[in-house]
Amino acid sequence: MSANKKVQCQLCPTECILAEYQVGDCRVRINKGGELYSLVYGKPCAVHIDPIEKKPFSHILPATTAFSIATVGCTLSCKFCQNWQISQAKPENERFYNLPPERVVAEALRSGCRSIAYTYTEPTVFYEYMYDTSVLALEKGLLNTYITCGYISQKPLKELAKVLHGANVDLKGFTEDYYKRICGGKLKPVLDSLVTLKEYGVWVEVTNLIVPTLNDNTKEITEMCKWLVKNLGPDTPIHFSRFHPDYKLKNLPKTPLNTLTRARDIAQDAGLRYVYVGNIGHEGNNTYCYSCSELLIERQGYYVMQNHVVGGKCKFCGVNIAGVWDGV
Amino acid sequence: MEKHTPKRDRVILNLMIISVTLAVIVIIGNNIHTSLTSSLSERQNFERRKKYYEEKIVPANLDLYPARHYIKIGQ
Repeated sequence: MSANKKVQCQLCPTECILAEYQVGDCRVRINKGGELYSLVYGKPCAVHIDPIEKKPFSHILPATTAFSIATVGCTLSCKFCQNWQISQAKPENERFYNLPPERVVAEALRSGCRSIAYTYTEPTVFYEYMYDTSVLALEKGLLNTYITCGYISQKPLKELAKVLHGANVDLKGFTEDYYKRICGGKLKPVLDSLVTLKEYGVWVEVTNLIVPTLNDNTKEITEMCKWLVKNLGPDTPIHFSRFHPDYKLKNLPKTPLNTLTRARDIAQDAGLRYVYVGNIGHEGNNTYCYSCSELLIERQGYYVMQNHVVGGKCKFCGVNIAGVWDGV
Repeated sequence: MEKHTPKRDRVILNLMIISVTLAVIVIIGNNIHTSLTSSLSERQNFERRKKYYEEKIVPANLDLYPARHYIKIGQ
């Protein structure tokens, strides 16, 4: 019976201990007969072709498209989640496509995408599917990008990092209390993930959703930006994203524009060279040269209007602009 | 020579022995009860989870794909 057939999942820091037929907190991993199984391998619930700017990535192959997939499930339970209908759903209750890794890669190539994005929900929960797809994509010259909350254990992350090119890590706040109360997780493993991705040579961009009254204070944003400069370096792009009332936080207003502008100023003062504002039309959607301040990449929404990064350098002053500009 | 034991002392001694015996019986009984109900509860939870799996997950045609990164406990 179940008592002697328990397993402990070691994919994320939650480390669920599961009796037989029990499903993890992520809702997509089940213990059957004393073995752990994924319920969502090759079963994405969302498949789209998106501009890579939507992920968001501002320093990976601008104006290209990313073949984007997600299954249901998440390792966290953020009260502000904007994709909660799928991230907090159970796979048995959602429609899905049958799309094994080889078909994902074939479809990405057929549709002219330069990359595959594991995104929308938390791709860590479909780790095996993502990893196998990434290996095939790498063989075919596609880039692999991981849009994640970073709530993953070190061992699986280090294996995955070897087949990744880019990661956008959602750093949701900068206090353990915020992660515990609002996200149902812990901050420390996310910071560890950021450092590991950087160490493994994965191009890292960071997104911070600013939620009014919860994580919008100057002290927290300042500490976060200083940590990023110190641990990941000044070339790490950060995207301050506008909050929209959703899921369990419908009582809060949208993030005011001046809060986003203040965050951008704080980040630039802390030494970050590429600071973006997202989910709203703003000059902070563009890329500027940190050296000569010229406009390098102009964006309207998710679309690139002009691009003056040539061979990874500023066309005007010739300084290197960090990023992945040429593919694999 | 027979040891002199006042009657009142003998009564107190007997009461103490009875009290200790009763306490031991209650503790053992409680442990047996907890163990039985826990085992029953575990069995019921197992049956409930198995029923959910068979009635909800199997019909959804979700294949079981072997997961990586886990350990077995007590197997």
